[in-house]
Amino acid sequence: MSICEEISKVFGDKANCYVDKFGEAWVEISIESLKEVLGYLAKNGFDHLSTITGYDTGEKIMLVYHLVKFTDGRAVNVNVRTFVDRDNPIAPSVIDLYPSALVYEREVYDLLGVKFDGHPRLKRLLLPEDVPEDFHPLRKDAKFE
Amino acid sequence: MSVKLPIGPIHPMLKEPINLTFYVEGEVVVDAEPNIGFVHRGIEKLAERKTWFQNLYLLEKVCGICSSAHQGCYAQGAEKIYEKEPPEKALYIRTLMWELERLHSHLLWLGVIMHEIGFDTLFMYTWKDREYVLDLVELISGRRVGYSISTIGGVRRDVTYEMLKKAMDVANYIAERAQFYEKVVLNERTVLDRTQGVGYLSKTDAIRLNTVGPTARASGVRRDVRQDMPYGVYEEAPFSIVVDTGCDVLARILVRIREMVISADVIKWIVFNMPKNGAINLKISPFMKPPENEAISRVEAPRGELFYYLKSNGSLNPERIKIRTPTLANIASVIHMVKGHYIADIPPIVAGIDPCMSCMDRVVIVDVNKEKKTVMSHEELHRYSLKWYKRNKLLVREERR
Repeated sequence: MSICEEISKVFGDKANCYVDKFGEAWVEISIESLKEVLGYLAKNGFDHLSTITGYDTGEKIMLVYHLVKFTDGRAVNVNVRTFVDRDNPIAPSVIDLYPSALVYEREVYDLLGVKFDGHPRLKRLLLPEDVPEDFHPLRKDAKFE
Repeated sequence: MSVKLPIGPIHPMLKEPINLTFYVEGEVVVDAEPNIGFVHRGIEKLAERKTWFQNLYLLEKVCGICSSAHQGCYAQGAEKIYEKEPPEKALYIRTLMWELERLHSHLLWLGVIMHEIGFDTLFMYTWKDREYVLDLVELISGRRVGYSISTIGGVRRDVTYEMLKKAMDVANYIAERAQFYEKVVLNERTVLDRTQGVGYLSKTDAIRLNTVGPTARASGVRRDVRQDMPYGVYEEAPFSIVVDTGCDVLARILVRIREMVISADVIKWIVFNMPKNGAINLKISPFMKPPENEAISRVEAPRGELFYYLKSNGSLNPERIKIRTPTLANIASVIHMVKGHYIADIPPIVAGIDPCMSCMDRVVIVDVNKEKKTVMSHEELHRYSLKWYKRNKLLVREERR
């Protein structure tokens, strides 16, 4: 059973899974079901979180969780995509499922301003701490004067 | 009652200088906290303003040592964005460069870790051997660092018979030297005393903390992008993954030394199987606009899994480029590893994950209660650690037994 069949069987309409032309599996979910889907994947062998990509689409902020399941043969990749509101970006923290997210969530917060609910030390990772709090350089409207 | 011991911020890693705050009780580290980003250069933002082809030369400067891995990884992803397949010969040349890079990166690291534990003789040996690899890299690409060999749709320079002949000689020589290093490391008391049982990272923790590369493989985790998600010519190339279950700094040394032998074998295989004729490049115009796409690219850099996410919007400039370097993934494991070890063990443990250019610069020791502050340069910490070990050699040996 391919990963997409499995996900649509378990989550039904909540998750939209497809495989792109390069063979990467993408799962599109709403931010409310993020913890549920990642919790299911973490329990089923997807124990490697490569990173969290944040991207400002202009209307919303996209978060992609790049997960890998290592098997004896080829590894299976899944990219879980979700969107948060641009003006009030709040996402649940996944550090209880993936401790490595501790650094990645701080990076996304720093560069895009997404607040992760439940993160113990959510502060800037790359930029200095004296940068104004509402400045997030990877937002498309960030000003650099 | 713990004492705060900040290390950094002007620190070892060239691409990611770090400030590690250690909480120590007496000589023992009880907790640590990383703080990174001191030479954050905003490359991800800058990449959005440059064209797809200009980014080839920007992104190889993310890291001075694994520049070919960065450029190759980006080119591989950009080829997906452009929906082009590079010619076969280009993949062979790219893989040859990746493996040569692994050789010289591991040799450099071996020298650094030996320097950290005060064994400078081996440091001189390995760096001398590294020169042979760098000479070959220079012969092939024209430069010792930042080779700019990959481009979108292939590679920029062809290899000649002389280059391949020299690659063969270098591979044979390094394989022979690697066996010698393995013998030295396993028999030399100085090395064993400072690395055996130091920086323990169990297999469960290595998986839990998402450790990558040789650090993970030294904890018995069989994970290698070259095998799990083959790219370049690794699909056909015969090679095995080196795994060690030692879980300590010694295991990390052995894994990297054995990986050099495997890399030398792959280089020999590439030399034998290099296509004689054929194009090396698709000659895509730098002003060609790619279609709207998003792609993920992963390569096994010398330090572990390197990750790129690329997105295009149909124009000449990328919409988003996301880079995840292996050192960032391994930082969490350093914090875990130093707990319970002596201050003198910090240099080999931090150097053990191969954080780009390991050479701690400045260490500040703050005693919270007395508000006394001592600033130690890396040189001083290094000397301090050697002296401390000389004094407590017997004690430590006894404890580790």
